[in-house]
Amino acid sequence: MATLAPPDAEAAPAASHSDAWRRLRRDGASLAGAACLAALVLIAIFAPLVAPQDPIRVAMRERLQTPSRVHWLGTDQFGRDILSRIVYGTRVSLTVGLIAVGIGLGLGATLGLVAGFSRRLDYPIIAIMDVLLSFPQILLAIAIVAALGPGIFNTMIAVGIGSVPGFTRITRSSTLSIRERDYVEAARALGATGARIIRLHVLPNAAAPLIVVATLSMAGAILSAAILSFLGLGARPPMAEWGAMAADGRGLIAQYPHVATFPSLAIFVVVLAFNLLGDGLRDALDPQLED
Amino acid sequence: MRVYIVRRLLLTVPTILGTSLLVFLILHLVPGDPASVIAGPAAPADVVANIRTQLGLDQPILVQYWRYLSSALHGDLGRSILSRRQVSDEVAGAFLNTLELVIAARVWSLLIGIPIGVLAAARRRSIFDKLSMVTALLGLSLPIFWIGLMAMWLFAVKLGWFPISGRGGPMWTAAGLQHLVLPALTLGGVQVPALARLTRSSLLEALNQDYVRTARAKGLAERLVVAKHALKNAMLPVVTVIGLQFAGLLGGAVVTETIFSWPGLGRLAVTAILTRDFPIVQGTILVSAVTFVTINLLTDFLYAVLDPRIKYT
Repeated sequence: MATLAPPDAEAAPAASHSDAWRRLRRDGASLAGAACLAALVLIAIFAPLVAPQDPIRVAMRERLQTPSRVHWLGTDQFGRDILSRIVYGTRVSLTVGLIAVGIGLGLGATLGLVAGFSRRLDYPIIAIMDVLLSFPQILLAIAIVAALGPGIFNTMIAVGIGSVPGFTRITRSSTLSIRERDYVEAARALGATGARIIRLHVLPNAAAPLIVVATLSMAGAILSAAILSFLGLGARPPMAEWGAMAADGRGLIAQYPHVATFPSLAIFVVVLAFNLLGDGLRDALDPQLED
Repeated sequence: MRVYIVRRLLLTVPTILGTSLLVFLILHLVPGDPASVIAGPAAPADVVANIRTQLGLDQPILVQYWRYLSSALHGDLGRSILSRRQVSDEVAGAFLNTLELVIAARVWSLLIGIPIGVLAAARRRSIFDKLSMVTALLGLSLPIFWIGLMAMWLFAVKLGWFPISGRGGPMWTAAGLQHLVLPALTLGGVQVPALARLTRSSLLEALNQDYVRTARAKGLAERLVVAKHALKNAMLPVVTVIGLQFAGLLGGAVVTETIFSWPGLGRLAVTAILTRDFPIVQGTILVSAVTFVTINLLTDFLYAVLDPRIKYT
C-alpha cells in the first residue's frame, strides 16, 4: 500500500541518520569494532613502519622459532618473521575485502535497481540470482576460481561475484517499495528523470540496509578469501596472506602450532571487528530489530 | 498444498538448468584455449588436438552444452583427465563420504545449538544468556580451518584420543566412528553459534506474542509457556535456516575435508582444480549445487507442512 509522505520527506532521512548515529555511539561493542578497524587501517597504510622486519626475507638459520624478544610471534619454516608478515597481511586482507565487496555492491546495486524499475528485466535478473544462490557461496567462489585460475586477484572477483545476489535482493526490494510511493509518483509527474528519482529517493532509502550488508559482507569476504588461500586457490607464495600463512602452518601443527595460530587470530580479529560494527549498524539503523 | 508442491517443483527446473549452464561454462571461461591449458604448456600439438576432440571442444558451443546436458541427465559426466575413471563413479563415492560427514556435523550442531538458544532466550539477560551470546559472536568470527587445526592439535596430537586424519570406513564401525569425530566436530562447531543466535532471537520474538501473554495470564508455568507455546512457533524460522545452513556445511566441508584428508566432494574438487582436471571439477560442483537445490526444496516442503497459517496457492 502506498503511504503518504510527510511534507518534509527529503529531510526525514537526515533526522533518522542523526538518531542512528546517537544509537551507534552508545553501543560499546560496535565502537570497539570501529576503533579496531581504524587501527587495522593505520597498520595497513603504515605497514613498512610498523613491521619490524621484511615480510618475505628468508633466513633459514632462524626457521621455526617460537615467540621471543627478537621475533615477537616467532618465525615460519623459512625463518620469516610472522609478526611482520601479519602486519603486511593486513594490507592484503583489507584490500581483498574492499575490492570484493565493491564488486558485489556495484554490480548488485545496479542489477537491483534495474530489476526494481524494469518489469521486463526483473524476472531474468531474479532468475540469474537464484541460480547464483543455488551454489553455497564458497563453492561458487571455488567454481569461479576453477575457471579463472588460482590467484589473489581472481579470488577477489570470485568472492565479489558470490556476494552479488545479496546486494541485488536488498536494492530490488527497496526499489520496489519506494517506486509506488506517492511522492515518487509526484516527482515523476513533475518531470523528474529516472536518474533523479534513483539519486534522490531510491538510493537514500536503500542506503541503510546496503551499509549494514556491506559491513557484514566485509567480514564474510575476508573470511572466504582467506579460506580460498588456505586451500591453495588464492594468494601465491611468497605473498603474506593470512589464509596462506595458516596453510603453511598446517603440516607443522603438531610441533609448531604458533605458525598457523597467529595468522588465524589476525583473521579472527578483523572479521570480529566487522561483525561487531555490522551488528551495531544494523541495530542503529533499524531500531525494530533491537531487542 | 499439492498445487504448491507441483509449482515449487517446476520452479526448480530453470534453477537446475541455469546451474548446469554455469557449471558447463566453467570450462569455457578459462582464459585461452581450454585444451592446451589442460594438456599443459609443454604438450605436443597432437595431444592438445586429442583433448579437444575428446571433450568435444571443436563443436559449436550450443551443441557442446546440449551434449553435456543430455549425458549428465543420463548420469554420464565424462571421464577424469588424470585417472581416466568415470567422473560419476569418483563423484558418487566422494558424495557419500561428504554426506556422512555433513549429517554427523548437522546432528551434533543441532543437539548443542538449539538448546543453547532456547536457554538463552528463556533466561534472557542472565549470565548464561550474555556469556553464550558473546561466545557465539566470537565463534562466528573464527576461521574454520583454525578450529580444525586446533581440534587436530589438541585431540589427536596432544591427547591422542582420535586419529589425525583420513576415513576409517563406514560410520557404524569403531574405526569409522573414531575417524569421523574430529572432522564432524569441526564442521558442526562452526554451525553452532549461528544456530544458537537464531534460535534465541526467534524464540524471543515468539515470547512477545499475544498468545504467550495469554498463556502466562492464565497462570501457566513459565517452563510450559516456553516449551508448549513459544518454542513450537519459534521453530519455523529455525527450520528454514537449518536448510539454508546446508550451504555453509557443504562449503565448510571443503575446508574440513582438506584439513583431515577426508575423501569427500570438497577435497576432490580442490585437488581437481589444482590439477586442472576439469571434468571432475564440473562433476563435483554440479553435484553439490543440485544437492543444495534439493535440500532447499525439501526445506520449503517441510515449512509448508509445519506452518498451517500460510496458504500456498
